Amino acid sequence: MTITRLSAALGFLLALGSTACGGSEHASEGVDASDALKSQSGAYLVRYTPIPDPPVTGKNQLTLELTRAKGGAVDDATLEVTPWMPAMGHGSPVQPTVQNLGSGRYSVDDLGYTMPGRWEVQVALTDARVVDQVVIELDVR
Amino acid sequence: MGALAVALTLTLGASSARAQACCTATGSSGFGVVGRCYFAALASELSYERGFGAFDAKGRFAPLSRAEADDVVLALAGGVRLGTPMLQLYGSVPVRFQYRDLHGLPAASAVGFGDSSATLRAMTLEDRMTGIDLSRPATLIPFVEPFIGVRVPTGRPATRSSEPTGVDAMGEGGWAVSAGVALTKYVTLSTAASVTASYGRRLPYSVERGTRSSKFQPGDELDVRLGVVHVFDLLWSASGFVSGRFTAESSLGGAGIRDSQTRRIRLGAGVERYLVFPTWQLGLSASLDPPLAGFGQNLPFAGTTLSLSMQRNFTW
Repeated sequence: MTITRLSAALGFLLALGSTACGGSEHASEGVDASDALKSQSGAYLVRYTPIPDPPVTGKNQLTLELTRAKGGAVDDATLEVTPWMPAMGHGSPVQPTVQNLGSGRYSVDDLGYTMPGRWEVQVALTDARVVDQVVIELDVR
Repeated sequence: MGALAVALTLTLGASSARAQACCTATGSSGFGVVGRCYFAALASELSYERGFGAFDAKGRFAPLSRAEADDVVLALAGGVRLGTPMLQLYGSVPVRFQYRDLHGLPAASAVGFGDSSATLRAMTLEDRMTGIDLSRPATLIPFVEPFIGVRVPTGRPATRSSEPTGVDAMGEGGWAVSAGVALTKYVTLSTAASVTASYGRRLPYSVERGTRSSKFQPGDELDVRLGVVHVFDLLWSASGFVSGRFTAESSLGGAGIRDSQTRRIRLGAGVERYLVFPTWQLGLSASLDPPLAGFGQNLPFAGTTLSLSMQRNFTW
């Protein structure tokens, strides 16, 4: 009887463990990096690639590809990037830098995540006096 | 003759265990808590905490990736009875030495205070410590100790961190007030079970997000701890516990933050030995966050903790 109960308890724990170690599918869950995110106004589309992918604690990069919803790359936008950890109510001590790579592509460097968990990368973009923003959600490991 | 010796040993063993039980009772439920037969206590605890993983917003565990998080914490605590054996005030102040080695950044360390706490605790009912005898209902009464506490944000919060690794973040950032009750029951002459539960209200504070300032309201927290302590003899005792901290959804600028609830369930065990009874007490304990789904949620650094403590008790 005791052995049966122990086996059941062990089985339960192992089942929990197998769920816990289920691989990397939960990185960036809820956000498919291959899909474009719409900006707040809907006027812009943003595709992104974290480097490394999935993102990790420490120094990371993000490449962004900006297009107008009506078509055409956004070549000369000004981007201001702010990382934020919503559940903990804090950002990052490091201010990211943005480099325009041309053809609507931008590289965000020095993205610092101080701890694992869900982070938001808020991208405020200014394009020909139009101000808009998009929020990218990332699960940092 | 042999039977007499055994009986004598058992009798002496039981009475010395009871002598320690009398002092250990209710004191084992928290760091710096003054034990039942003491007037005051001073305690220090040196802990080593090593992070080995994280729990995400859905409660799934993943090992740390390209990161190392090690903390050494020296906590000082003290408690004193306030004119009556029924009331005590105790508190603790941690000094933290933190080390972070994160991907792509130079490894860094920092020293500073963590968050401090103070608690006012009363004893409203007393256990007779005779063990449970169902034929005598009075033996079912446990120690009942309601308490109120405050956590003071003496540690630098992550919102004010200036190190790229965040190694200098050592506190939660806001005040918290709590109320709860601790129940301790000697089930036998030498084994006690305890339940401690408290509800905490964390007060809001301002955070800067980009150029905007907003009010961050951390979720309320519920703490529960189940413990058992066994007193072997006058000098030795051992304990085990499971603790849980659950926090509700936080909000920013009045808007709830999705998936911001947190959960932390820890298991631990320890041994204590009186170096000099009943004044000097040495303790060794270990605890961990089980690396299994569901045992944590939104927990950035789950890990193990190894602690060595020394307590000086002052008798009446």
